[in-house]
Formats: sequence, structure tokens, C-alpha cells
Amino acid sequence: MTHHLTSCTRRQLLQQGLALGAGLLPGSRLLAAPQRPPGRMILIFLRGGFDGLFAFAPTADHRLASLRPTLARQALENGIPLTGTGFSAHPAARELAELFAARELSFAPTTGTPDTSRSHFQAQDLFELGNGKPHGESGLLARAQQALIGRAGPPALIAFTGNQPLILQGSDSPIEIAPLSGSGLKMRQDKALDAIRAMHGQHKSGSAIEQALSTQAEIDAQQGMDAKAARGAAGLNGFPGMAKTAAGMLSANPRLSLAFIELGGFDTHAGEENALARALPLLGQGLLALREGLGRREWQRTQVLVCTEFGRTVRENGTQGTDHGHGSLALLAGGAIAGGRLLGGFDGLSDAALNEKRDLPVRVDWRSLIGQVLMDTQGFDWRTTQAVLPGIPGRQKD
Amino acid sequence: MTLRRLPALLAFFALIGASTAHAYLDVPVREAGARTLLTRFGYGADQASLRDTLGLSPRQYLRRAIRETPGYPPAIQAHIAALPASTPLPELWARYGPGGTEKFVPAPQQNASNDGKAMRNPREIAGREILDSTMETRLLQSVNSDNPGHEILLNFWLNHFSINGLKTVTKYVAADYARSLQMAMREDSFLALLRASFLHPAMQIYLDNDRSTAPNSAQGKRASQNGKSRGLNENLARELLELHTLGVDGGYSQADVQALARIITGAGVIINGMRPDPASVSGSVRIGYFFFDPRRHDDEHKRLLGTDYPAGKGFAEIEKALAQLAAHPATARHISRKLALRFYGDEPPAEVLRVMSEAFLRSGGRISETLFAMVNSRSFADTLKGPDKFKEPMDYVLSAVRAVCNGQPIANGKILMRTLREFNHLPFMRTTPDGYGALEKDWLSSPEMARRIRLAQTLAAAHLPLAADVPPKSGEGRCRPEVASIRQLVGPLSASTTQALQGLKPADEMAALLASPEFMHR
Repeated sequence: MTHHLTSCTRRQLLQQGLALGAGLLPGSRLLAAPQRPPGRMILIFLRGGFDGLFAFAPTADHRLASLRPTLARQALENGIPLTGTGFSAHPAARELAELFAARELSFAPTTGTPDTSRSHFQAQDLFELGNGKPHGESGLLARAQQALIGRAGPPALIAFTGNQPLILQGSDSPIEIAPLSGSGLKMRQDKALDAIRAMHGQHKSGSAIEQALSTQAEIDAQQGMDAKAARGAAGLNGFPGMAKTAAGMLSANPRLSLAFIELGGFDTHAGEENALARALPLLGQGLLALREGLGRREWQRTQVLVCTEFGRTVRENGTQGTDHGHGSLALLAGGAIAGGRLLGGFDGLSDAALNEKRDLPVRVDWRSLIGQVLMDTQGFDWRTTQAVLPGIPGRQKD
Repeated sequence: MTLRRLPALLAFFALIGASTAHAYLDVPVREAGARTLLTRFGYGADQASLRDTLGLSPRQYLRRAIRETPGYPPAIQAHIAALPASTPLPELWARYGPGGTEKFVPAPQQNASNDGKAMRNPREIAGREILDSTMETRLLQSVNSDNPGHEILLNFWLNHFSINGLKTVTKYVAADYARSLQMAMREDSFLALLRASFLHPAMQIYLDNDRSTAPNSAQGKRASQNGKSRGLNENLARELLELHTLGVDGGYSQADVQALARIITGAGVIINGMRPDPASVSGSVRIGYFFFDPRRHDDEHKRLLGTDYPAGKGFAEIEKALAQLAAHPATARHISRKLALRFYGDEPPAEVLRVMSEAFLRSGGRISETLFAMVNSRSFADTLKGPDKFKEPMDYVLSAVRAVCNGQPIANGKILMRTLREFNHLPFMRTTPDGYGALEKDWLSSPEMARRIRLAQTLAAAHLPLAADVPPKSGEGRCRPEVASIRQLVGPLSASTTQALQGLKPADEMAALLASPEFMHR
């Protein structure tokens, strides 16, 4: 009784708090989130349209061999069974299969957005905006951070990227970007720098300079311990090394409860077998490096979500690759997740089960996955989650 | 009485002036105007380019930018001519093109954990040198040109019809691709640019169209008889619609993408040692190393954006489709918007976009008329006052280098390459076909600000050997900036910038000026 009353009042408060803000979420800091989030989300975005069916193939479906005469061969002949799902991992995805067997990884083979353009750029924008539209004022992680900390720092969100992707844009709160390659954020501390900071003071560029100075201090602290890993280039080749440094920074800075990593090189129109046979081990090794670098205790409170902007055609094309499609594979990993499962179901590869007889349908809205991870790791309630991810499909509870 | 009415009169004339057609477009510029033109439609001012631009009207400046061949200092010209990228295309194609004499040697099977370091073979080594020198050429030309507007517009089109030099054979032909777009640009026609891009091996290879084969074509049927799968690849067709012409909101459907993919089947490249000889294939078309092979073409009826393409027309369908796309109203809107985002500002008003699109359509796709309409719009001059357009990294780096070298020919392409690589803004290196972004939100970030400040500090203090041949002899060709000249090239400063500069030593003042908000915008 009392409990019910409290939660009602709390919900009303939330509504009022949220009603104040048109775009972002002023005021929700006081109401929505606890002081210290219970966990951490690491979102890894694979740009280019990752062919999930190559990595985890529905080998129990008899149509697979004829739809993908070359691209499914390895999974059919040498695949690693993902027990109880009807899927097998490509041998190059060995690390992912091991995480699955250890119940630290689940997968959703038909995740995606409502995108119908099959354009990389529109689909990526839709994904990153997280409001169900191809246009918008802010990215979904920018809103998630603002729900956590309000307008003022210190940031809870860090991106291990060279620049600022859309998913981080449009926030009033400062964003932390840590490039883990090249000279990073280093600047010579001298009188010129003091003058430059003063000139840019009231511009957007001014807060970017201040952020660069404080992030560099964090990188210095981490790389002092781990000098070798920092040399890894950004991009998939350097991912395992970069993941190790990133994990170190995250462990050392508990306030960073949201992290973003992006990887390229998944647009496989031709020669897909070679490209992904190189890419998948790097992805798997990177996840293992995160697990190792975070350590047992941090890994227990971390959830890693791996997504892409869309999947690819179910049939291989005339150049041993695949073209732009719709639903695709998402991976959820972490020390305390309910792993070893297939999420969202799978209807097989019959023409009737496909979208436009060409690609996988979307059965799992990407916002549902991200929303669930945000609730688990950031302590968001349903209403805050809805405000961060407008249009997220409803739940039966609440 | 008269005196009291003067301000009102002046305001009245200002209003008249602002609404008179061709007000700004045809007024010869003075020093401030020249600096503005060189910054907005070029890679920044130095003393020589200021002198060259004085007295030109914006219309004259832009017409020259589009139509006139640029010149470079003789030493730069000689340096570029000696680079591997200047090798004539026939020679490159015979060696590195498909079926060429320098064969592809697959790297030995590798363990993916060895950091991706491939065993290098001669073909790969040459490819890297050719690609690097292609980028170096473009940077040296952009920074040293006597026609800066030409360079920035050419780079705009190379970015609009973006290719990635790392994709297979593309690296050997990227330099020729730039030359082809440059020639097309002088025709002052969007269709000419679209054709130059489409009919070049670089684009055919980059977006996989050289491998797209209609299943119902002679080669498609033969392949399926032999148990091989050859088929359609939609990549180029989709990007033609989405990126090169109509734009993503241009009102086309998946059926249009497929129709266009079928129309352009057969387009591809010459293969060395082709049998039978390409010239003997009936219905084939060869343009340079572009080759239309009717044996891969889908000869059946198609329908693209409501227009019928009757069966059996072969290559003529491709010309027809390119012309149809180039003249489409959605293309006028898309290209106008793209030009405005690069040369007007991040939020061009609808009215400006409207007059630009109209000019594009009215003139049959003339780039000059489209730009004149933008420059002549009422609000354009306001965008120059701030200025509030955040420079793209290449704009920033090249303008800073030009300011510190101030007229010395900048021969050291290696430093430019290294710097632009760090800024993630090398020509021909964008991995996705959408090209680099032009907006502040695409570039302004903490790492970007750190890079700019680091560069400004280095240029002001380190006296880099930017004007030296590579490798530099000691002490030779260093660019030593002077504070008075940097002040003049940066131009008017805000009160807060002026205040922050108080009491700085010259080297610190130069670093701060080069990293000032004023110099980071154009």
C-alpha cells in the first residue's frame, strides 16, 4: 500500500519533471537516477552494416546452404554450435562462441531500426538519434548522460573515438572523448595556451578545449601503467589493444558509467569471407580484452552491447558478398547477464519469414535492447528510459 | 535638420543597396573583401593572393575558379611531375590494372593477431607510393595554387563523388580521377561532373559496379551454366541516387535502385589482355579505361523514376539515365544544399536554397549560376561578417600553413600529409562514399581542438621546413612567420581575443592568433 503510493507519487513527479523539458531532460537528475549507477554500459557500434548471418549462422535451417553457397560453407562445415539455438558460429568467431558457452554472451539475430532506406548514413543516423526518426536534435547517449548528470559535469559518458559521432551530439552536458591513438589530446602548456583558452572561453570550442585537457590527464594516468597498448591504431586492427586501455580507464574512473566505441570495415559487398574472417577474431579478442582489463568485479557490473546499423541480404550477391538489408545481429555480453541465449526469436529463412523476400525482418527494436541495458546498468526507471529513447516499444510490466 | 535626417537616409540607402540585384556579386573587393573571398572560397590568404584578388568582383573570382586552369610555382610543378602519381594512366593500367603485368600476390595466410601487418609485395609497395603521392599532389596543388577557388571547388567535387584510395585498383587511378573531374569542372555543368565520375574506372571499381553482372546477360547465363554465381550489385546504383544526385530524401524507391542497377550493368573497366579484343565486341563502348561490355548488360525493359527504358538500347540507357538524374529537381535541391553547407553556412535559409535550386534548373545545372545565386542572396554578406563557418580540418591546416609561409612555395608535401592524416581529413581516404562532412558538428570536438592548438603552437615556434624539398637540407626552407603579417592575414579581432593577446611575446601571440576563434572560422 505504502509502496504503491510512493511509486505513484514518484511517477507523477517524474512526469512533471519531464514535462518541463522540451528536448533533453532538465531536472531529471534529481528524480530519475540514483547517485551511483549500479553498473556500466559499453556500446560498440559496428559501422558499415555487419552481416550477422555470417558470424552466427542459422545452420539448422536447410535453406541456408543454397541461399549462401560460399558464405555459409564454413559455418556449416566447421561451425561451432551455439547450443539450443539452431545457430552455429563461424570458426573465426571462436571467441564469441566461447563467451556464449560461458553464459556471458547472448545474441539477438534480428535486431534493427525502422530504417527502410538501406542507406548506411540514414540508418546510422536513425540508430544514433534513437528517437525513431532520421532527424533530431540529439543523440541517444547524449540524452542518457543528461538524464544521469543533468547539465553540469563531470561527464559520465566517454567515447573512445577520434571525433564526436552523432550519438554523442546535442547535449548541454560536456562529452568526454578519448582518442587512444596518435598524439591524442596533448597540447603544450604555455602562455599561448592560456590566451587561447581565454579567447575560446564563451564559445563551444572553449569547453572542448577544457575537456581535452582533463581527458588527457586521465589518459596519462592510465597509459603510465600500460604504455604499450596505447600505440594500437584506432580501427578494427587496433581494437584488442585499445579495448585494454579503455577498460583500464573505465576501471580507474568509476564515474564513467556509459562508454561508446565505434569500429569500421563491415561493408562487405564483395569478398566477404576474407574480410570478416579477419574482422571477427579482432572483435572477439577485443571483447575478451575488455573482460580481462575490467577485472572480475567490474565485468560483473558491465554490460557490453554490440550493434550495427542494418543487416545484409540473406542471399549472397554475385560478388561473394552481400548487399544492404534490414535486421541484423546484436550481441549482449557481460559477467552477470543471462547469457547463452537467443533473444527475440528467429523465424527461419523461408521467403515468408523474410522482409521483402530479401533480408531479415526486425523483431527486436534496437531501443528495447539499449533501454533494457540502461535500466539494468544506469538504474533508469521506465519513464526515464522512454524519454531517452522516444518510441521505445512498451513493456508488459509498468 | 539635414544632419538629423542623415542617419535615416543612410539606412534607407543601405536597404536599397541590400535589395538591389547583383549588389555584392559585382562589387570589386578591397583588402578585407579579398581576405574574405580567399578564406570562404579558398584555403586562406597570404600576401600574394591578397594582391591577386584585389579589384576582382566575387563573380569574377568564382568564374575564374570554375573555368581557368590553375598555375603553380615552377619548383612545385617540377616536384609534382616527378612523383609516381604523375605516371600516365596507360602505363599504370598496363602494370596494375586488372590482368596487368604486376600480378597480385596474395599475402601468406596470416594469424589475425599479428596487428594486420601484411607481407609487402612489389605491387602493394608501388600502390602505397602511388596513393601517397596522389594525396601529396592534391595537397601541394591546393596549398600553392594561384587559383585557390579552383582548388577548393575541385576538392568539393572530389568529396561529393568520393572514392577511397585503399580499395583495390582505385589507388592506381585516383590521380587520374582527380584530373578527369578537374577537366569536367571547367565545363561548368553538373552533368559533365556526373559523367566524369561515373565513366571513370575509379568509381566503377570503388563501388563494385565493374563486377555487377545481369543474370539474364550472356555472361550471367554462361556463369550459371558453369555453376558460378554472377549477379547484380546495387552499390553504385544506390549511391548514385542517394549521394551523387537526388539525395536520400529525393523520392526514389527500392524499385528505382534496382532499375538503375540493371541499367548500369555492363559498365566497368578495361581488362588487360581481354579476349576477344574489347574493340571487337559489338555494342561495346570504351572511354579511356572505362569499358561498357554489353555481354554483362541487362537488355530488358526497365522503368526508372517513372521513365521507361525500352529494351535493347545498351550503353545509350546509361547516358539517358545520367542525364535524367542530373536534370531532376531533387538533384537541384540536393546539390544546392550541399554547396550551401560548404560555402554558405551550417544552416542555410530555405530562401537561399530555393534561389540556388532555381538557378541550377534554369541554367541546366551550371555550377557558376548556382553559386552566383547563393552569393547574391540577401543574407550571404551577413555570413561573412562573423564569420561563423567553422573551418574543416583541411581548410584550417592549409590556411595556417599558408599564413606562416606567406608566399614561399610550400614544397614539403610530407609534412602536409602527416598533418592531415592526424586530422583524419586526407583526400581520397574517406572510407564511406558519403564524403567528409562540412558542418561544425562533424568536426568540433575536444581532440580536434587539441590538434589545432598543437599545430598552431608548432607552426609559430618550430619554424618547420615547409618550404624545403624533401628531405630538407639543414636550415633550408623553413617558414618563419612574422607577427605583423599574421595579424594582417587573420584580420579583425573580437574584443575578447584582443584582450587575451595582451602582453604575449611574438611567438606566443602568433600561436594564439593561429588558434583564435577568428582564424578557426571562415
